[in-house]
Amino acid sequence: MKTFAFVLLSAVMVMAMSCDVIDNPIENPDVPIDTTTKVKQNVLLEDYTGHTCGNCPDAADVAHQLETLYGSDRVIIVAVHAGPFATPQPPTYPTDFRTTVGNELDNTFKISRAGNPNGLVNRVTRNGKFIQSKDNWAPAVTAELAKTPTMGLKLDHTWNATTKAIDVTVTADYIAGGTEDYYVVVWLTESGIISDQTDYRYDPSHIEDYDFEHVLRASLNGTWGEQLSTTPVAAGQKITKQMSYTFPSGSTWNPSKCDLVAFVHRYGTEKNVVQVIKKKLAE
Amino acid sequence: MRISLFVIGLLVMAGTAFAQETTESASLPSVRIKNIAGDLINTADLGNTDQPVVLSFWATWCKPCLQELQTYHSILEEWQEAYNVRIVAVSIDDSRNARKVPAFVKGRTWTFDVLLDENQDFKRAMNVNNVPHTFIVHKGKVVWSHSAFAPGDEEEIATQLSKIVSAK
Amino acid sequence: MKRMFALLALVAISYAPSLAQGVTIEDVGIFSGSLQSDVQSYTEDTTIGAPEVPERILSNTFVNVLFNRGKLTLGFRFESYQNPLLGIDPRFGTTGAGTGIGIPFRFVNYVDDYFEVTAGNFYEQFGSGMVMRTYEERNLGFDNSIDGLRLRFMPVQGMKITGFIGRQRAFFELSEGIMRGADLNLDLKEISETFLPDDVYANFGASVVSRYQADQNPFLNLPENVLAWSTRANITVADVMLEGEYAYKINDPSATNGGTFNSGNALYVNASYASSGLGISAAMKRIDNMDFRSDRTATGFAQQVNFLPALTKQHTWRLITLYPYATQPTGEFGAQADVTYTIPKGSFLGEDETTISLNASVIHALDTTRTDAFHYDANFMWDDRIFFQDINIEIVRKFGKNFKITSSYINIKYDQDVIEGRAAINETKYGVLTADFAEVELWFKSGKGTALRTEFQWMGVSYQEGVERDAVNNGDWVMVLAEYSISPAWFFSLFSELNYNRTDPVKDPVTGEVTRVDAENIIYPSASVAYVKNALRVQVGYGRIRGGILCVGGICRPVPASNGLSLNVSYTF
Repeated sequence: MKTFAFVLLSAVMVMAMSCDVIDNPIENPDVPIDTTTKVKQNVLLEDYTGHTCGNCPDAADVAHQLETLYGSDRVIIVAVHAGPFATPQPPTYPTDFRTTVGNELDNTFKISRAGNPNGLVNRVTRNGKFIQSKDNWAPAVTAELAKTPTMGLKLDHTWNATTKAIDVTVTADYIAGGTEDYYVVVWLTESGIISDQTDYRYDPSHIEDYDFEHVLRASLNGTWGEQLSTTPVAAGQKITKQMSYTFPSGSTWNPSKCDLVAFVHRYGTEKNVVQVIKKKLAE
Repeated sequence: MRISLFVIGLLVMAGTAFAQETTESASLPSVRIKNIAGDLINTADLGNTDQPVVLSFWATWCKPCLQELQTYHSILEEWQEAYNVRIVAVSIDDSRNARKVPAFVKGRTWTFDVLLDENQDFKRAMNVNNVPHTFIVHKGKVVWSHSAFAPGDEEEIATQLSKIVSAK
Repeated sequence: MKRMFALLALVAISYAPSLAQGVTIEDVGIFSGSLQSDVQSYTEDTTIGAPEVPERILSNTFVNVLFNRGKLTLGFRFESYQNPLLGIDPRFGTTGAGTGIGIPFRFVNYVDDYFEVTAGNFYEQFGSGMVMRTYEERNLGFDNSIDGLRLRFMPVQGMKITGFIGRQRAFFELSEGIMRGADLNLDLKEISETFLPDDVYANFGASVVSRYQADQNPFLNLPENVLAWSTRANITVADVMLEGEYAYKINDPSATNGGTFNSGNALYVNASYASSGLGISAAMKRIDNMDFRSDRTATGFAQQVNFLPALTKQHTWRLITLYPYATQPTGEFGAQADVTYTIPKGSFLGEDETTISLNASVIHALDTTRTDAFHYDANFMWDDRIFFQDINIEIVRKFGKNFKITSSYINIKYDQDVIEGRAAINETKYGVLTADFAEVELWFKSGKGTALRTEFQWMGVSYQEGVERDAVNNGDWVMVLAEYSISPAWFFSLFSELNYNRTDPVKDPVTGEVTRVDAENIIYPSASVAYVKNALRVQVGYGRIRGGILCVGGICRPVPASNGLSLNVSYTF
């Protein structure tokens, strides 16, 4: 009896000590300023969202917070509108932000079936989770940014304002050797679109003039991109890919608010994004 | 880690198999749960004797289960005389409804034993997938197992019970 | 390793047909287990909101195997999701190996008179589950077992000490947080039979549970160790029972409580009187920020460690299940009363028994005021706002052994904004709807082992002025069901739901005003056949199933509308 009482008491004491009561919730993050020009690991933060998803604007704000903290050249956000919350609902939510690319991504990763908002951080599985809820974005992005990059990317393009045609040249600089599953993808995103969005932080929750940022509009070379090389590539090599794209006729996209996002991912195997880069389309 | 755990388990099992003959008599899995009076019952003691036990898993939200128990309630006296059977109804209601089970059962004047398997430990040990599921237990062994309940199934149970009685 | 287990399962199943339960291998032990498989086909149906399913057919399969030898039990469960059914979390198909196949549950258990040890996955409940309950509810895709170590000591009969440590199952992975806990349970009647009078029972208990999860958030100081404790007491004197439980949790900012640094607490009090022919029970529950998970970022059904069921009656009539209540973990104050009365045979009503069940429950919001970005104040008493209210009566009347009538009436008030999480706090978007429900069920049995059961249900729904309504499920409902069974093997059922008085919103392009116009009725016909042979049950069904919420036991989950064929197989060996 005494032994059990002792065991019990110690267990309770151990429990009581494992108790963190916080007095000051806010932490001021310390971002070391790195002025070297060496290549840094960037993060592709895919935010799967929809205009009738009331919890999604909160997630978009979290993404924006990270973009502001670490810089929009390091944290590259793409908002993918797919799933039941992205379906147009006339008369109140008439816009259709869905794309073939977005639908295919959502069906493959089954994100909207798990709920919205949800996201992918460099398409990496962290602590057993591939799909990251918005509360995981800050730690996941911080961890990814600290990694040593294995590739550098360069994006050159020409933009013809009259024909609305884009010509893109992407150069992948292999800092470390790479395998044949490296695929390069180039996406077009648009920001500054004003339309209807549900936001449960406000009453009424229907916001008619919500500012949509980083909306995925199209892929220049398919959902999964094109293979960089059919054979493994040694460190130090550079591979270039070129592609063209013209705005669909009748589209109302604003070129001065568009960005080109190029990233290299491992298709069919690890899925993770190796490196990503963003560039404004036009001034 | 997972593989070694199992290898250890299997080795223990194999080791004891070769070391001795099993002398324990059969019994139901052992789970300690309460009945509606408040007594703690060890399920391994159910059906251990010569008295056949009709063991039925049910829940207050399962309509065919209520149909089954209502049937047992109306023929209980008849069965007890003919077969000396004991009916044990195990409620798998979780803590949302488990507190209401005594009032539910007594309010319907049901007199058979009712056990409260609140975290479904006994249900899992007996490999029950869905309720209703009924077993007949005799001398520690399950001699009949039936899923679902159709009105008229009590005839089938009576046939099984009479087989047990006549075999004695 | 998976092949080894599949082989073991096959060995067990191949022996099975000859024995009713379990396969006894002489001098080795007893193998037993069960199989459950659900397959469903999906056709896109835009009228009812059934989404397009690229796979067309989805399935869930579970195989449980147990091996028992005296005091030792080994077991495992093999699961296969190709892909998970709609309504089940898709992460079952994408985590682990990513193939939807795995053995996420396995354990070794040794039980003796004074102690019990479990290594591997286990299920456990402390008290009523307010700080810790791990369980499995397959039909809802719910399994939050802990994978680790559990010890139980019973130093004297009636005293049970339980301790555990481990990580929780997260689909085919393990949770990020480490859970540990201990519980003490004292059953005075078992400890000393003479200490209490004969018809008095008393139980006391206390538990502690804590979670460790690293803080990698650069913006906030999150608590890495979160502790929750609870105490409980239960006293029964003759026909009267009184029970109370109180739980407390320290600050736990998480995705479900909006990142608040408030502590959480819950209070539950229950009283009941049960004597032959009359049962009365009343309960009250106050919950404030008691959602507790093994991962602070988890939402929905994932990673729950405790169990906070709704304090409302679980209805089984189909139409009323469109509006079930689910506990608001951020806070609510509820009360429920229940009376079951059986008018005995030979009374003025006739020769047979009549059972009357009355139930009423109401759930209020808590009266809270925000004090700063991370804290709020909550009064003990409730706020005027009602989340849910339910008043119902059910009468069952038998006429001999072959005929029975059940009739019931339910009236509910349902705050769609809060319960379905579809609006901002304090916003009236869908408002509070009122549903009136009535049904009559007729049950006939012939002497030859056949029975026919028919149900007629009606539900009328009324809405507040000017609110929005669900795009598909709005308006009134009528349902007819007929089920014919042939003992012991066959069940045939046909049922059809009709959703009428539906309306659609129309926005006037000039004034911007939104009005409602009549929309077409929708019919949901469905048929099924089931075959039962001892412990094997096979059911095939076809039809249109409305989208809604499926509740099993204490928990509910949303299930989208579907149109197609379904096959369910269940077997226990």
